[in-house]
Amino acid sequence: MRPNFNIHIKGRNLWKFCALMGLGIVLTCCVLQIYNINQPITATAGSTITITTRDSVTTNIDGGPILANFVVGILLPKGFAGAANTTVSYTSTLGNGQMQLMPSSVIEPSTAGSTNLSYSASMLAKFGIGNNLINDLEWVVFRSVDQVSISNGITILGNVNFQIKVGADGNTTIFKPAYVICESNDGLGYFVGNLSDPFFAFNNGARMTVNGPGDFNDLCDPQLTSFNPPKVLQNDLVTLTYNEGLDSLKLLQGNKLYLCVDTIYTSDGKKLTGFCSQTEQSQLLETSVTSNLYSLTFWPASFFKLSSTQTLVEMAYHIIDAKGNSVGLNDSKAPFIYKFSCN
Amino acid sequence: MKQLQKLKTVNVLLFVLMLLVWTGCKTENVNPVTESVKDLTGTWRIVKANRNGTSLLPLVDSNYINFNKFSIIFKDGSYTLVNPLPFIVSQNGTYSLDNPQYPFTITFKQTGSTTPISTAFTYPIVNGVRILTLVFSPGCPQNTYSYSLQKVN
Repeated sequence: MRPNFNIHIKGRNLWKFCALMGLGIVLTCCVLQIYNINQPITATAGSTITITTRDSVTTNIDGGPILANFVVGILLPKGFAGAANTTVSYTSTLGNGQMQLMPSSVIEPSTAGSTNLSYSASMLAKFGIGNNLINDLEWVVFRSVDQVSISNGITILGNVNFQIKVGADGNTTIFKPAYVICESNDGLGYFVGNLSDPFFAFNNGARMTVNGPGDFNDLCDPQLTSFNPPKVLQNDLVTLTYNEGLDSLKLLQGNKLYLCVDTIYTSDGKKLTGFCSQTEQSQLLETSVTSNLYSLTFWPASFFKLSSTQTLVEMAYHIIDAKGNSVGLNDSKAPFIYKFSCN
Repeated sequence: MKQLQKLKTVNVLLFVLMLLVWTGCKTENVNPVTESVKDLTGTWRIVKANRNGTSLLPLVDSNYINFNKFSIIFKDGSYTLVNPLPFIVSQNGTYSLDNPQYPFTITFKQTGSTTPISTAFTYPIVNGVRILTLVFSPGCPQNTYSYSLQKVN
């Protein structure tokens, strides 16, 4: 007996979408490139900078045209609050327009049905933090307000223009931005899973210094000491890593290294001392036999024996060896300073 | 006459047979299975600890930060922390589940504090054993910690 398929699909738009997705399986949509990035290398916190990228999209669509949004992502320090401080527009051979923040509820198509990530989370999973070393950045993603009709066998040239009010946190921040372009049909996918045939383009940007009156945060250069997570309070477990390879003056000898805290400062204005020791509790251990990186994971509230009413705000410290030789800020005798803050 | 008699006998026998079948069928009362009350009584130790999605266990193994030595003991509505580590609470106190059979949250109330702290109660069976997973931010809110605990006795 012939089965009777009497399926009512709700909504003609859903049907169109499904038809497009069905076509998508055999489409090579586009080859995308970011081929010119124009960005400043210094800026003042609180000022608005302009970054432009020149992009091209070469299409190879079976059938079509397809309707899609242009999508762009930019990697910025979290302290910039990029979503609130960035305006994006574009000009292209297919028309000009504005871009709006990509809603975090929209699933990036290549993760649909598996990890179901937002565009921002998917870019972080795929491209990480670009050429930076400290994980205090985020991908801020925008899509064109209008959908664009993309036909077969054309090359679309365009400029994406970012207006960014930088340094909302008032700090001096050094970082390397990164850029992604794709379209809303395929997201960060590949043509028939072929890794040399992506539907997106990715590029790292140049090192940028944003100068502000607040703290100094170098997110991209190797540091003598770094903290993971980068922002902690006294009840976090924090991993301090010392990079012995950057001790160019060779101030420390041997491989028994210790965290020597000269002074801590609490929120009630008190200075406390006596936390410099060469014990198991303060010893940094090499992360692997050849890494030349030494780390210590500790709980500040316990390490400094703080009471529940004391709030730790800052510590001044050195890294010392078994003989008491010490390394401080910029490989000098001055102490490193770390501020306990979530901002 | 004889045939009619036979028919009557057969009918009576059939009727008796039907009666026997009907009364022979028992209706079974299916008692609904009651969902068990979630009882946390006992000593729980950490089997998994993550910070921002990365395991903490390879990073620490000393007398000062030791995930093997930490335990939380639940008894009669109270909890006790042994060998403390950064956790949802830092002092001993009382705890409760929002629903004893179908709990969604567990609430801790430290002794001396008026503010209870609640977190999602995740209690799956993994390899035949109940694992209690608690997610919390003891320091900066952007840092998320997850401890998975298993009862040891």
